[in-house]
Amino acid sequence: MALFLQRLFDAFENGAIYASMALALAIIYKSTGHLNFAQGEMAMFAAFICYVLAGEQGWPVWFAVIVAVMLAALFGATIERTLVRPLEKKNPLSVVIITLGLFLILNSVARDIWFGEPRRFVSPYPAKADGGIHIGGATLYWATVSYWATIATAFALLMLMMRKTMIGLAFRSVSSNRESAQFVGISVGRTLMVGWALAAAVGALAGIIAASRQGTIDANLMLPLLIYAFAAVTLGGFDSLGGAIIGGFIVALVETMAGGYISRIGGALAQSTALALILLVLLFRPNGLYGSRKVERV
Amino acid sequence: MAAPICLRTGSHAHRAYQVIGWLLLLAAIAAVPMAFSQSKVVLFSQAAAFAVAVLGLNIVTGYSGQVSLGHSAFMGVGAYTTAILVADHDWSYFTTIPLAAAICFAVGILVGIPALRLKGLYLALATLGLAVIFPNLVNKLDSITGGSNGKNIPVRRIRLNAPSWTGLKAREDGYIWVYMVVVAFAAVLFLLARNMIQSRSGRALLALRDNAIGAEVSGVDLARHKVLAFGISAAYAGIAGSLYMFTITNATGTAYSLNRSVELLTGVVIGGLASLPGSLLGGLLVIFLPDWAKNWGDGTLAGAVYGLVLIAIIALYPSGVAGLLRRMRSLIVEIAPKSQREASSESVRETVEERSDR
Repeated sequence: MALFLQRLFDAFENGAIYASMALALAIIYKSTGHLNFAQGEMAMFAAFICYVLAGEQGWPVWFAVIVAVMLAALFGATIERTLVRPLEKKNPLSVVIITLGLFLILNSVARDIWFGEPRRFVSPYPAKADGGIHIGGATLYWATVSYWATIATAFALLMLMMRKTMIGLAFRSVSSNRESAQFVGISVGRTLMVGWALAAAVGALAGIIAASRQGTIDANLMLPLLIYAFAAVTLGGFDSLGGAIIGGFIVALVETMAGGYISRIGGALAQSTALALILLVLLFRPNGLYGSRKVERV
Repeated sequence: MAAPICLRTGSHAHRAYQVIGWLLLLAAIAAVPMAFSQSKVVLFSQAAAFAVAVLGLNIVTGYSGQVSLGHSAFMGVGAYTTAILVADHDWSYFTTIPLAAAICFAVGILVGIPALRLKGLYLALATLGLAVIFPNLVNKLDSITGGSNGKNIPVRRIRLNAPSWTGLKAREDGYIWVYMVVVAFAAVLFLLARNMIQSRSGRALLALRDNAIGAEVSGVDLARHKVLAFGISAAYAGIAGSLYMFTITNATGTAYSLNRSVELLTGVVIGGLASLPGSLLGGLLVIFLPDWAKNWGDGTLAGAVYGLVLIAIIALYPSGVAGLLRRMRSLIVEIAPKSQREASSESVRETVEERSDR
């Protein structure tokens, strides 16, 4: 029982990262219908900026986090304005290819700037050594609790924005029908730009959480996590923000439980559970758990 | 602006033009082993192998409009099939090729069935999983694959020996024989692909890419054609991996990671989407670009070069180098179809494109 509980708590720990990454992916998908393959690398880069500000420049860590998140949002908006928007109409493949190009560029530039050994990450979160709540022989670390507190806050703010502000209303109408939104006078371009900025900001939080959990940061930070985030967003149903978070947790649960109880899967093969989940969802429930039936079957 | 020379398809002048073009290509291929040093000839053999992989990816991306990120894994499966069978089971290099193709075809179909019935980016998603898992799988199955050290081919089996009828020295000139073999395989695979694309199935694929609903209404079975095309494309990548093993001495999991897939995609896009000569250019590029980019920031920036070139091409010249060459040719030589009815749909499309360019 203690072991099961511990695995459950471990799932919460991994799930926090998958959920926040999946949320970032879902925001972009919901507004534009694109999958951002560079999301992980953008998050990694933002975490590096946080590392430079807090670890190298000695800024207060929360201030460094805020600056990193804002810079990430600015970067996201710039990408949308300069690359995605002008090229989207030319060729349906071009956005995928642009995000893949970005993926390569960010990864290789980070490798070039911060080469060598992984660096120690100055984290805004408690470390595992700080302990946690002991329940039935297992420990729910304060770190895990604080990750989820961050995600919950970000999600609540996002929902508040969606429901209560003009820009949120614009976002919802653009994601439900872009042409109609344009007809009623909503500036579609600006709304999409906000979508990319929001996604990049949430992604930056994911990167900072991932680096905090690992304790160190290097250019490979997000590479192994990307596939879980995609599995999470597939399971949640691409355009559902809440679904992405639940998907993230379920993916982590499946990963930890399968890896824990089936010894053959453990370690190196854990990622194959993510692929298996993706294929199963596509096969049996292409809209995911909470996605709207936008998926066309032609 | 009218081109100074106008050739009608099927006319003697057009035939001569085509024959001369093919002869020039053959001459260039034959000249490589004479003109370059051993290390460069090996690079050219690798480029031929990669051209097959790029062609495979082009079948999916260029001709059916889907992105696959799993072609690194398919290449890896091909390479490991050859490496393991040659190193441990004493198979001949040649007999491993059909097996590599068959395995990759099967895996391609398995992944394609869930991912390709739906419209959208699902293939990219599912194949991303393949690309991520493959290096891990290699490490996990270390008793068969040699784990993270890779699979090494024993010294006595490295490279094919040139047979005596070629007049080459069996051992020393083996690299030239390998070059000839790889190029011959690549040529056959390019011809097969050309025939497939010009066949009924090929036209069905293009129709699906351009207007899926329209194509289905006209009786094209979307799932069947897309899944089959993806299987064939995966088999091409598998054969490419196998052929690549002819030119190197060991296979490692990291050589077939996600980055390799993006490299192949870069090859497709820069060479030219939906273009056979483009795929050949793409193969050359995937091999020779890192050779140049090596000097950029200790080689770590090679990825950035790829990424920048990828974005620049898709932004500025989406038809790639092949498109650029086609356009340059159209300034000098115009090829007009005899009549629209006799011309294949492909050349009609090309003429329309060129007309609208003017």
